[in-house]
Amino acid sequence: MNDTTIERILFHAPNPAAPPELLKRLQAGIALQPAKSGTQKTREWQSPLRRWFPALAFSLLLLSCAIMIAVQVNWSADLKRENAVLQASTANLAQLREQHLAFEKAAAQQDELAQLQKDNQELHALQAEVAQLRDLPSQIQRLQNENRRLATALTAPTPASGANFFDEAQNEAERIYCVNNLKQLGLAMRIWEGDNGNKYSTSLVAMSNELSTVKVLLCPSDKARKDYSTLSFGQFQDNMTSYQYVAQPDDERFPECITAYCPIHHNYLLGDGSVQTVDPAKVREMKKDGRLYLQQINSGTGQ
Amino acid sequence: MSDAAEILCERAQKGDVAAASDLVTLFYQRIFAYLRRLSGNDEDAADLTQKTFTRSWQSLASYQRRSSFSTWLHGIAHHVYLDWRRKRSVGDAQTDEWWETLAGNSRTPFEDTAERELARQLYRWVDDLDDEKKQTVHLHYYQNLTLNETAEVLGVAVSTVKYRLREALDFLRARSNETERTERKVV
Repeated sequence: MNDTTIERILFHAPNPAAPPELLKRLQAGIALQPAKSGTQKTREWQSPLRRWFPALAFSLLLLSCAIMIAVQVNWSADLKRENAVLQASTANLAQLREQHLAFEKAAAQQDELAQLQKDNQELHALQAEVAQLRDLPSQIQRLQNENRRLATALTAPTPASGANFFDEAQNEAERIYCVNNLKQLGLAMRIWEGDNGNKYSTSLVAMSNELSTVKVLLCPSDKARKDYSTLSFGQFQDNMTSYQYVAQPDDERFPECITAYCPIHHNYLLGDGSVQTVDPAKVREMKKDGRLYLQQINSGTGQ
Repeated sequence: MSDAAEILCERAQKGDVAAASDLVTLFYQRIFAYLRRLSGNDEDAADLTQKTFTRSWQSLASYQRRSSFSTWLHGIAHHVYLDWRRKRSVGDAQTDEWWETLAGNSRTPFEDTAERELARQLYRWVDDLDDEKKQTVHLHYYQNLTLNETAEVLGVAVSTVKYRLREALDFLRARSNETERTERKVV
C-alpha cells in the first residue's frame, strides 16, 4: 500500500454521529460573557510599548555594541601608542645587549675571585690546623707520661703512715663522718633535754624520737657493729652503739665535761655540744666530781 | 463556512445568543467526532464536547481572530482532551468492532469489502501510534485541518507537524506491508 492510498483512506475516515440530545444540551449551556472594555483599554494603552519593544531592544543592543566597539578601538589605540614608545626606547638594543654581556662576564669574574679568596682563607686555616695536629702526638705523649707519673705517685705507699693515699682518704672520711654523728647526738641531747625538764637522757636509745636513724649511733669505722645499721630503733639496744655515753642528767651546766665519745677516733662530745678530736698521745681523760674531762698530758689542762 | 463562522463569532462576542447557538450547530458534530475518536466512548466524548463549548464561551471575549474560529475551537477541544487524559492517565483504545460498526453505518467511498477491511485495520493502527503522532493524524486527516491549522492547535511548528505525519505514514505503510506479506504466506 502506498502513501497516497493511506492518506486517501485516512482523509475519508468515518465520522461518529453525536447523540441527538447533545445539541440541545450544548445550546442550553451557552453562557456568553460580556466583553471587558477595561481590559481592552489597558491593552490599547499597552500596545504602543508592546509594538515598539522589539525595536527598542534591538536599538539598545546596537547601542551597547557600538559602545563596546568604541571602547575597544580606544584600547587598541592606547596599545599602539605604548608599542611605538617601547620600540623607540629599544632602538639601541644591540648595544645594550653587548653591555649586558660584558657586565655579566665581569660579575662572573668577580664572583670567581671572591670564591678564590674564600678558598685561600680556608686553605690557610687548614694549614694552621695541620700544624696543630702535628704537635698533637707529642702533647699526647707528654700527658700520658704525666698520667703514668701521677698514677705511680698515688699507688705508692707514703713513708709516714705506711698506707696508701686512698686508705688515708677513707680513714679521714670516716673520721669526719664520726664527728658528724657525735654532733647530731649532741643536738638530739639538747632537744631531749628541752622536752624533759632540762635534764640529759641517761640512754642513747631513749632519744630515738630526736634521732633520724640508728646509723647515727654507729661509727663508720666500727666494722664489728656494721650489721646493726639495718635495725630499727625498736630492735636497737644501748650496748649496740659504737659510742660511749657518759652524760649525767645535769651536765648542761658543765660545758667542758665529756658527754659521749668515740673510742676508735678519739672524738669527744662535750657538754656545750662541740666535738673535739684529740691525739691520745697528748690528751687523756680525767675524772673530776664524777664527770670526765679532757686534760693535756704535759700541762694538765683540758682542751 | 469559515466566513459564516467568523460573522457568527463576531455576533456572539457582542452577546448574541442565537449566533452562539448557530455556532454550536455548525461545529458540534466535528468536535464530538474528534473527541469521540480520542476518548473511546460516547459519554466521555459528549461531556468533553460540552466542556469544550463551555470553555469557548468563557474565552470568547479574548478571541482575537489570529486563527480561524474552527482552529481556535479545535485548540480548546485539544486542551480539554489533554486535561481529561491527565486525570484519567490511561486512555481507552477503540475496539475493532467500533471501527467496523462505524464504517458500516457511515457513508464511505470504500465500496469494496477488501478496501473497507483495509481501512478498518488502518484506523486501528493509527490508535497504536504514540500520542503526539496520533493527535497530529487525527487533526490533519480525520478533522481535515490544514498543516498550519494543525500546528496552531498543537502549539508546534509546521515542520514538526510534517515530520510527525511522515513518521506516522512510514509506520502505517510498514504495518500494511507486513500484513500483506503474512497473508501471502498463508495463501
